Formats: sequence, structure tokens, C-alpha cells
Amino acid sequence: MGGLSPLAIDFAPPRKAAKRTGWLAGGAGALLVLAAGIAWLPPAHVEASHMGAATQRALPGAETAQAVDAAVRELNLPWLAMIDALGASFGTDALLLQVETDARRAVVRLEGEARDAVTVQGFPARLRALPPIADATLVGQELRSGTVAYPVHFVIELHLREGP
Amino acid sequence: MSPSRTKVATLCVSLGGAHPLTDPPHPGAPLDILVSDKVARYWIMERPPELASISELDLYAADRFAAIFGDDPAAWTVRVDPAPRAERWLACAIPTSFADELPRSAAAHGWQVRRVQSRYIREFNRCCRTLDPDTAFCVASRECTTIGLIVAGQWRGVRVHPPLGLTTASFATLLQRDCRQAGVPVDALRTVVVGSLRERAQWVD
Repeated sequence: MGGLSPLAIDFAPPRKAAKRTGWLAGGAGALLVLAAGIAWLPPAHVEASHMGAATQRALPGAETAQAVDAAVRELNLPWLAMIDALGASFGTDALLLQVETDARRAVVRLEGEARDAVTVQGFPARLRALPPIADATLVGQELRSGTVAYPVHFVIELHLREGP
Repeated sequence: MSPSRTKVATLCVSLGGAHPLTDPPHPGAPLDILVSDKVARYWIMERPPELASISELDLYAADRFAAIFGDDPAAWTVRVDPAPRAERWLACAIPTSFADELPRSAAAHGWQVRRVQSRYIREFNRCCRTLDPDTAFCVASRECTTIGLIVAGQWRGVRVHPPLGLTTASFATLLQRDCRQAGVPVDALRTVVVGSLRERAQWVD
């Protein structure tokens, strides 16, 4: 991959993740209410006159709908772009130990080890500058004396941009 | 304020201050604050050894800022890009009123401030994916000309000059001066110029 990395210099005040979560929760709630409303709508007269009880299609259950919704969300997440972005950002100064994804919330939780604390502190701003990532928060970091080369253990939470 | 036809509006800040802040088209509309390079300060920092925390880095950067520019760092907000594997880091400072009070005022108007960046940083981030590791990246605007030098992917120098046309020195002269000061052979760099006055920056030997 050619080119240079973007500069992680932004003077904007840190964004509040809680608002985003609230918005997502609100959106999910609205969708749920809409889905429930549609499920409870009585069949139209025209439809009822042509369809007997035997031919009436059953609506998918809530569990099926949720599974389909989760799969669609997972497909819509920019995985490849995100993996490229992570590789470019961490380089050889950090090791990625674990990646946990929550497709429903478009959140990825990274766990890794880095050479020093300052490098870790720079990761959120660096990741935030990348197109697939809407927000990045350093959830925690800890100095572990056991590992000489990568003594700083860190956890970062990424919020991905959804859509194509 | 610039025309806000696009989804993200831009509020430009120049030496005379910020352009008038209007109300957003709807509450929570995104806003980028763009600070002129004439207001910003840039410098290159050697990667300090044994830094334990980001607060130590902030103190170190503030010390360097005071030593280089002689201004009181308390009135400025300093940011450093602590790039992994880099021995030199680019640092930038803007007056705290633009980094702190202006975003707060915009938020009070109902805007959601997305980014507060200097012109050079924004233009660099737009173009960086296409740049070579050995590049002189320049922004030629009506307010100033900013030249940054990158060798083998490492920052070597960055300086802000008067706008092309208002200085007797040509762009070639400015670039040669900057390269000489940074100890970089000018021929080794690919020159990339962006900005409204880029046509005036014809690179000739």
C-alpha cells in the first residue's frame, strides 16, 4: 500500500460516545416499534378476499427478523477497509491480540500490546482519521512488566461507519 | 461562513478572527472549523525518549513551542502527531480561543463540531494517500504559502511563508531555502502544490 498516513492532529473537543449509542438505541427502538406496528396491521380487504387461510404467508418471527437484520448489518460493515486501516496504523509498534465485533452496534473492540504508552495514546486520533472509522476511544491501558518488547496492554473501541 | 451547500459546513478562521457564525440548517448539523495557516504554528519535534504518558508529551511539546516561537503556551493549544516508527513528529498549535471557545460557541448555536484543523493539516490528510515518501507538500493559498518537507516518510521541516505574489521570492526560491535549512536535497523530493494559488507555484530550476 503506497502513500503516507494521515496526520492525527485535530483540535476538536472529544466526541461523546454516549450520544452516538443513544442515537443508535433510539433508531433501533424506532425500527422495532415500526416492525411491531406492521406485524399487527390487519390484512387488507382485497388480500383477504383472494387468500384463504391455507395460502396466507406467515410473517417471520421476531428472532428470524433479528437474525436477518444482524446479517445485513454485518455485510454492510466495511471489514476489509477496516482491516487495512488497522494494519497501517499499528505497524510494528503494536501487536493486535484480539478483535471482538458487535455488528448490531457497528462496534469493534480491539485488544493489543504496544511498545510504549505514547504510541497507544496516539492510536485513537490516528484511527479516527481513517475513513471506515467514525470514532475511536481508548478504553484502557496498562503497563505490564512481564513483556519486554510490548509492555503496554491496551483496549480500544471503534465505532464504524455503516453503509456501503 | 463558506457556502453550506454540502453536508458539512466549514467555518473559516483567519488572522482577523472567525467569519460570522450563522445558525445551522438543522440542530446538530456538522461543522468543520478551518484555521488559516497564517494563524497556526508548525514545527518538527524529535521523538523524545522514555515518554511515559501523553501529559508528558504535552508538556514537552509546550516547552518546544515556547522555545521556538517565544509565545506563551498557555494561550495556545498544542497537538502532536505521535506517529509510530517515526523519529520526528509534526506539531501544530493554534490559539486556544479557536480550539476551545469557538467550538463551544458553535455548539451553543446548535452545530455539531466535527473537526477543528489547520489548513495545511486538512489538505495533507486529503492528499496523503497519493504522496510519495519523499515529498515537498505545499499549500499555496491567498493568505500564505506553507511548505512541508518529508524524506523517507519522515517529517523534516515545515514553514509558513507570505502568499505567492506578495513576496519577491519565487516559489522555487522558497522551496530551495527551506530544503537548505532542513539539510534536504531539493532534487530528491517530488513537489506537490495544492491551494488556490498553486498555478503561481511553477516549479522551475
